[in-house]
Amino acid sequence: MMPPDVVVAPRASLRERVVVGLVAAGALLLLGAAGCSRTPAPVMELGEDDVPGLIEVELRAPAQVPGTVVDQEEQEDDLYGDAFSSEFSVEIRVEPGTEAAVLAQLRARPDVIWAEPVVRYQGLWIPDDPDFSKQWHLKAAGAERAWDTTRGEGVTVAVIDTGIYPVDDLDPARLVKGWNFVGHNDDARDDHAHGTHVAGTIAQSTGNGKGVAGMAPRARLMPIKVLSQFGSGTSHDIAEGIRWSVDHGARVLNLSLGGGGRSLAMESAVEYAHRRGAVVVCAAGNTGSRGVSYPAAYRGAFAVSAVGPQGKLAPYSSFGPQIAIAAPGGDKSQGEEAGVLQQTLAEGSTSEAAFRWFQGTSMATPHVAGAAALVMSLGVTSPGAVEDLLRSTAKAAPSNDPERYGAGLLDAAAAVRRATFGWGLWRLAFAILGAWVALRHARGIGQLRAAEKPGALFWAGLGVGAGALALLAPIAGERISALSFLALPPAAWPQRFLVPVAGYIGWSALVPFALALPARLASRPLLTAFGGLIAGLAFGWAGTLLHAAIWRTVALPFMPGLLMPFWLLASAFVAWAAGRGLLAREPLR
Amino acid sequence: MKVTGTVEFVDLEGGLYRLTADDGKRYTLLGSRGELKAATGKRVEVEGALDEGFGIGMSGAQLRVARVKKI
Repeated sequence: MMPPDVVVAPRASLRERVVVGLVAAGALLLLGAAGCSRTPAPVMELGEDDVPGLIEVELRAPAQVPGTVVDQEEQEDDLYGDAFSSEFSVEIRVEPGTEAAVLAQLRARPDVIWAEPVVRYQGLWIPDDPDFSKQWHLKAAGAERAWDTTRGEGVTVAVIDTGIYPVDDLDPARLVKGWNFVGHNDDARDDHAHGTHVAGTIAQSTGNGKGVAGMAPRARLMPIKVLSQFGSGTSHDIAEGIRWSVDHGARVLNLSLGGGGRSLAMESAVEYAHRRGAVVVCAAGNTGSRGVSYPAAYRGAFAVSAVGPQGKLAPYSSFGPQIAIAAPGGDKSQGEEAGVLQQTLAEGSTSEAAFRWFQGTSMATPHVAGAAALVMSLGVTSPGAVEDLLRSTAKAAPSNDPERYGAGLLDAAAAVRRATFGWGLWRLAFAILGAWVALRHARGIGQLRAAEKPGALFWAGLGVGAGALALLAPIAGERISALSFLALPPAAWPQRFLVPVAGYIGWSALVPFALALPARLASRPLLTAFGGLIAGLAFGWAGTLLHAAIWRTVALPFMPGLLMPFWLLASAFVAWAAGRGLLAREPLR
Repeated sequence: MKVTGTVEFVDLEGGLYRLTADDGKRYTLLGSRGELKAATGKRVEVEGALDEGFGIGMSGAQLRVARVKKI
């Protein structure tokens, strides 16, 4: 006898739907993996978004170019301080299909600064900063393809350097309190230009109609001045700066500095920062030879080598076995504009700002720090997981040489895509599997009849709990900033939007258990809309926790790293049990 | 210590000054940019002290400059 208020409509069995769902998830995962495949991809190489037959060329002087000139522009300005800039930009049309050959021919010419296919950026958020188009390095690092999902909101990046000067293309609201370890006061303003340039690469104001852009424009910047006006400092001050920044909330540390001497104080500070949940990104050094400088060579540091516009190791970049990844640091042997462009102090000034092209492994490092901030803003709080993500999504380097390129060339967009879309599918698959096991068990022991099936609200709750809304993040997430939480699973919301210790609310079974208990006490739990919704949410939450345990994506305050997976596994089981408890026809007696 | 050699400007990290000593050793110079700019391309005697610390140059030994004398 069927309960009178249950309407059973003809539909596929749960098993069929689970199988279809898992097959679909598997197919999407394979597609995602294919999208992240490591085919050799030099910077701005031919791709599917190219406009057929169109190529843009930047010349040192007017010269003959192949094909038909569609548009040309000569720009002369003194925007870049002392370095008077003059360039000749030409857009040419060639026979579609011949782009690769023409590009190769152009790139071999000494009078060509760069040449690249014209790309159609449909759907991408393109900032209106007038000189963004000159920041080849941000495009090469995958920044603009990441910005539709996240811009680094909620993450504090410490710039442990010469300080940060509040130039007008840095949002003062993004600058948090820092410390000056050279002058022993709270005035951490830059008096050199190096730290401000580095800070600009991380979080220059972007989309403000002014100047240039930064990798993670909504991240917060913490100025930690450990280097003097000459750009040098002591191991003691740097170690103190590392500890201070972590103790004051920085989760990404940018160390565009180094030296050849090993310092136990600094080594222990780097390990402390990593243990406390910070990613410590360090410059490899500028010797142009084998031998990574300290602190990049310490355990716990994420060492960055520098590449030029073509993705080849810059001639000045140090290299060695400690290199984790390569990022754009500029190669001005190819011309001024092959450097990294940001706003900083004008040459010789301690108050006037200018847009300047720098090169060095110091410039490569903040691209990685910015990418780390983008990933961390998505609720990935374990530094090891952030580093693994950046490494595993890196583009293939021009040669398979881990000492020069580490895991490959930084691709922030691929890292962001995996943290949202890729991991979202895994969480969903785990949640569906958990629900399938629970439903099968409930039917097996007679708590549910075969015809009693969870409704749409159950599946909606499961999707929300598993963070499946993250699959929509690239479409809606940062276009409507109020919905930026969509890119994170709900389990990550308390840690991301409240204080770090609130992470225990999300990364536990507290929420599903607290919601399931009253639902379980209600009549016919699963068969009420509320009960179904909560059951689904609990399975989704369990899927998220299980994923976090396996991928080790989460770090919580006071929780030793070794215990974290066990905490998450236990929480996943409790969350699953909370959902399972709702799969019953009768209320709890 | 006193080192004689030639000062050059190196376009790294926003601009560094480097002394290539007569014995072939290279030092990143830490000092007044104005003074170092004026000495660029010239043979000089630099008086100063080796700085074992850390910095933005990351390209070898650092020499903290007390005086630069053109020779």
